[in-house]
Amino acid sequence: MNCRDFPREADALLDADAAASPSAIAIEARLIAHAENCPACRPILARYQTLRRAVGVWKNPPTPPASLIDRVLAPSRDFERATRTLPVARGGSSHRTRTRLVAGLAAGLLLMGMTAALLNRRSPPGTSTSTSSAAPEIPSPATPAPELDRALADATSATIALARSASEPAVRVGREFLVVVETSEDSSIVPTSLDPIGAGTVEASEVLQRVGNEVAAGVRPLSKSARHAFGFLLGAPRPAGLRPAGSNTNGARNG
Amino acid sequence: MDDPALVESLRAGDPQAPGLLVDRYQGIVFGLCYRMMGHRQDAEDAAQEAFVRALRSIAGFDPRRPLRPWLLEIAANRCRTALARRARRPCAGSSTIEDRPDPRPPLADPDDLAGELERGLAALRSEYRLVFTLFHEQNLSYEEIALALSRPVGTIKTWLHRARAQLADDLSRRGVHC
Repeated sequence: MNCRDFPREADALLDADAAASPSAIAIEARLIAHAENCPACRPILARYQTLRRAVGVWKNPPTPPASLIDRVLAPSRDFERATRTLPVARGGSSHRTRTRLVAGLAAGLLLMGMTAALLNRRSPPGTSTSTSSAAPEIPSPATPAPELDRALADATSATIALARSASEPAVRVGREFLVVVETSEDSSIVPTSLDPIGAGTVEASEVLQRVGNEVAAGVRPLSKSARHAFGFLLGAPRPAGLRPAGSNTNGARNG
Repeated sequence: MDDPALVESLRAGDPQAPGLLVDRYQGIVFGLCYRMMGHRQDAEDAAQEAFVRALRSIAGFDPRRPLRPWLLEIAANRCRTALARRARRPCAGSSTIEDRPDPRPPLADPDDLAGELERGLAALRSEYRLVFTLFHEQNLSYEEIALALSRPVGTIKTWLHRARAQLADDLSRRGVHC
């Protein structure tokens, strides 16, 4: 050992003390041997020996408070409870997404209700009143708020009322036209019994004129899909031979 | 129960496991926090935050790693955050001195080696003091201190060597001999 190594060896001695290593004895012996022959290192050894003894009696680590365990466990219990309540919440984002979805659903239903109320007001008073009172109240299990239940029921009622008010005239006029062209050899005559407006026979041109008026009023009379949808209003299905060729509603509309 | 088993219990949701973790490591975690913060109340807050964070992130902890350095790293991070917050407050330094009451008599007692050492520690640079206390008081290894303080092991060794040299000189200068 030389003088340059001496402080490093003194450090090693303190490390060995801290680790309770048996090498401390050997290190100390080497330091003492060098210091006995080196006046420059002798005071250094003395200082380190003092420090060594001071460290030996100094260890008095601060003790944690007795309440630390409770302080730690209380928030973690709250956290567990919170994560149990929200099992899918792995962070803030999913919770926020769910909140936004619920809010969006509520806003959508509210908008539907408002639209339905507006449409209800525009439809004919008699039709609207009768149909809305007959509309079924659809329960809404996904929306617990009573306002949303009401909005959904209003929207349903308005939708049914709108469908009926729009389709009834079309079905009525279309049924007239179909019956006329299917039952009459002379397609220019309409039977009295099927005329919902006036008595006696009606010219086919008048029927077509009426259809044209209904179309102009925004009604779609007897398109192919409408005939499929409202075919039940025509009663029992006709024999196939009764339908003449050329009884096309598009032709009627165009005529 | 050893540390890997404790980690598994924590992950499995054993209600007793968090208490075991805190009971086992509160001394060393609080000691680190106390030495870093120099303030008992702040140290309690930092230790509490460290344990809460550790419990919340235990699912992502690799059970093959040693638990103690991981906890100390979390605690040291909490302390650094708290110290940065404290540094932004006005009159940041005064509370550190006031909250370290010295119960010993004001006159130096040559026979009170521990007290003399405390006096010498108070005069050290904070990094040197922290490394010295973590090594000699909390019995942390060089590697654990390096991990907790986010410094290379070589830096920790240098700081500890300088801390010892300055303390030895300080004791000698004040006439403390054995």
